[in-house]
Amino acid sequence: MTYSDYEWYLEQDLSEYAGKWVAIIDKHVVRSGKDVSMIIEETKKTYPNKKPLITKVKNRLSIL
Amino acid sequence: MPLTYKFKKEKLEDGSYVSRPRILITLKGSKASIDIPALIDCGADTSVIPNKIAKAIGLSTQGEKTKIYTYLESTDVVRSKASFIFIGRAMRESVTLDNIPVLIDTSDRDDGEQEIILGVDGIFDNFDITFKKSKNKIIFKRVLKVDYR
Repeated sequence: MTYSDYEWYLEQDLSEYAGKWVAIIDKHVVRSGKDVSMIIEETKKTYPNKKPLITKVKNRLSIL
Repeated sequence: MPLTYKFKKEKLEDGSYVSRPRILITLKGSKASIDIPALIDCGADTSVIPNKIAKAIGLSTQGEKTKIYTYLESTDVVRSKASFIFIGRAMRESVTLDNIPVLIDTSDRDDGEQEIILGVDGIFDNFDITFKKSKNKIIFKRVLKVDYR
């Protein structure tokens, strides 16, 4: 259930993954890395029946 | 029923914290779709999608080439269209927007700053968006009739 993973994500300190993309399934970070296309592909292979939450962990002050 | 999201408290490299408005969406392409907490930004004219995500899900990157300008720098992009599902707590609350103009960041740089940004064009026309930082809420209310006057 992605919305519950979103709520979990909002409460987590993911700073150990700073600068990386992460895949979250069932309230766990199941994969992380710099290459988002690889993260999407590998997560799909490992968890074919799950829909991961994919997100970038940023740790820099920014303006857009 | 309005969609309600929250700010995400994020720790920076110097140990301080910021809160960023992250909205849960599904980004749909021709090959796949991904669920992702996108940054909502009323200062961005258009939504922006990193090239690697666009390619992974099958968004066209063959559109008109242009540039976007941010503080002190510019980035090469191409124009494209995408579909977004704004995910609600209950599936029946979710809202789909198709054919939304987006820019795909073709720079493929790896400086840790790439992410999906939801800008004004096509998004703010379809939702009245209220930021309530003091209550940690971002409220999306669907606009049923878009008036471009």
